[in-house]
Amino acid sequence: MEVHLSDAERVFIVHGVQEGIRNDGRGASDYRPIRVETGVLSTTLGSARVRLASTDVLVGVKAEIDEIDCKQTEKKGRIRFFVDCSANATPLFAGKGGEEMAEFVSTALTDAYSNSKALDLSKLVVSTTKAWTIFVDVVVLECGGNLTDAAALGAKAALADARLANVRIKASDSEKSEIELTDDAYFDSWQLDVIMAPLLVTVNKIGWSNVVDASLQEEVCTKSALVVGVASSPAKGDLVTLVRQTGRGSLEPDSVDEMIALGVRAGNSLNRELDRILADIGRTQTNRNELVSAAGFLSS
Amino acid sequence: MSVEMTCPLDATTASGSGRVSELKNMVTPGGRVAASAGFMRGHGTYTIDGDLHASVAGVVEQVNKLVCVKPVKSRYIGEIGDVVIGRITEAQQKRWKVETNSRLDSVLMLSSVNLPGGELRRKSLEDELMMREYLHEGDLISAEVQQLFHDGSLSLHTRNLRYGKLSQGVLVKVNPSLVKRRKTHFHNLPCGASVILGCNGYIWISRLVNEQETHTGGYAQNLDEVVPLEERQVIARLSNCVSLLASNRVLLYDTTIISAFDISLQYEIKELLKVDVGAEIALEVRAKLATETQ
Repeated sequence: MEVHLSDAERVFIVHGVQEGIRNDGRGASDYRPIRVETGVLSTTLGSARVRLASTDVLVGVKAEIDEIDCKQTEKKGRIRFFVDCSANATPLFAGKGGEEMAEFVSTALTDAYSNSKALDLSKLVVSTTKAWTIFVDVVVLECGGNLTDAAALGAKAALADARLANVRIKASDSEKSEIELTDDAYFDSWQLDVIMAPLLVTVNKIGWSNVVDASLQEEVCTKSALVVGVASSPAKGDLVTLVRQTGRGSLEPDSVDEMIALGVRAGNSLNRELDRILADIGRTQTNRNELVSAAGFLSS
Repeated sequence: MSVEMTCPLDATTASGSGRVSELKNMVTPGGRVAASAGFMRGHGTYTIDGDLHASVAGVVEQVNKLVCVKPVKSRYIGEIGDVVIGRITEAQQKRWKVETNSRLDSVLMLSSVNLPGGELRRKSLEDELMMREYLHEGDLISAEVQQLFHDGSLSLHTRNLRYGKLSQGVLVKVNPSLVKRRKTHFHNLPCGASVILGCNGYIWISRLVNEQETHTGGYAQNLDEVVPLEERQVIARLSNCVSLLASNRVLLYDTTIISAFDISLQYEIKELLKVDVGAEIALEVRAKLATETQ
């Protein structure tokens, strides 16, 4: 739904944020309850569904074996992000309306992951000329504010869930080498190490205060926002992989420093929570020893 | 900094309240309701080959010979005298279009509003040109349904000092069926905030309305005033209570909102956003209502 606000509502929200209490009682650095499920789509190598209040995104991961770009010095695979803002989410996204938003989120994800310290893409190499290309598709089912953060959470969870089959390259007589896929694609597979995969945190400037996880109404009152890509692990500390400004307004340099600091703190908490959830899910899956049925999607 | 994440492994599925089993006459669109002979066709039904079928998904209601199907989820259908809260979508010649969560935008005629200052006179050409000064796009108003047009759209009026433009506060949107038609929809709650329960599912929560202040006709707005922190906390807690009552399908009226507020005082305001906390509070509100009605 397109969000309209009266002037008085706008003033109420801005004053509230500046006093430290938002319309739903949260503080500036509090997130709304998040629900993460993985393994929800059986046709993908990995999938996840993230619900952040009423924002709902579904992410699927697929992979293909491609030629390595011979111009690159280091051999590594590729990762591509596609975001689809469908009209299901809100009538605003009908036709070409959702393209701008989709473009923004997919470039933010691509740039955040393009840091060499984030995801180790050299593990995707299969032979001297071939490597996996990973495709991450994000579908926006419902938009309730803070789409970027939800999409990044979904992407990391789906990548953690993805199982890539073990592959052997057989040198054959002809120039082309043969790719041999293992018989048991589920158990003879490996998973990506996503501990340093970045999450995106949108820090919105409302009035003179900074908040994370803005609701739809708060996004209308935002003049400018900063999207910070944060990867963090207990061993390696925090890593900022992206700082991108969005919105019509401009920011003072001091504000930018404050917003990045808030974004890093929030990103650190998000990463820790998500890693804990993914570890719980991983542990349950190994304990079960059979195929986990995809029961998450289509059930509440 | 608080980030709370759950996954299906640790989520406890809240069991339904058990009321679903009582609704034995639920139908789906196309389902046969009754034989057409001897029954009058009400809303939500149609006849095919002498049989009455449901056109919406819902519960069959029968009053003597009138059979109708009440839909489970539908837009707001107005009745004369309902108090509604709406948002101005456009200002046209001599009237405003108001969005009220119904099938069509409602209409607020220029002749149906009180002029600022409370003066009573016929609206002149200057008033027509000044319409946007009174109410412009995006403003929220509280109004009453004056009449229904043939196409089902509503004509509203604000010819009472209680109605008019709404100032600083929070709007919560719920399903219209959760707001029952009662004697009064304007409540000044003892916790220190005022609530307007619009029959169209729009609930307006703001600071306490002083009775003397409404003599201006409701159009004066002071955008510079800052609502103090304690009142903001009450408003935030109330808005979370209304949302959790709505998502747990508890009827909304002053008693349920006040009990939910009192029960919620043991939690922090932002904890009320969690699904399990909401379910627990809704359960306690239901239990409290059950004991009080006995």
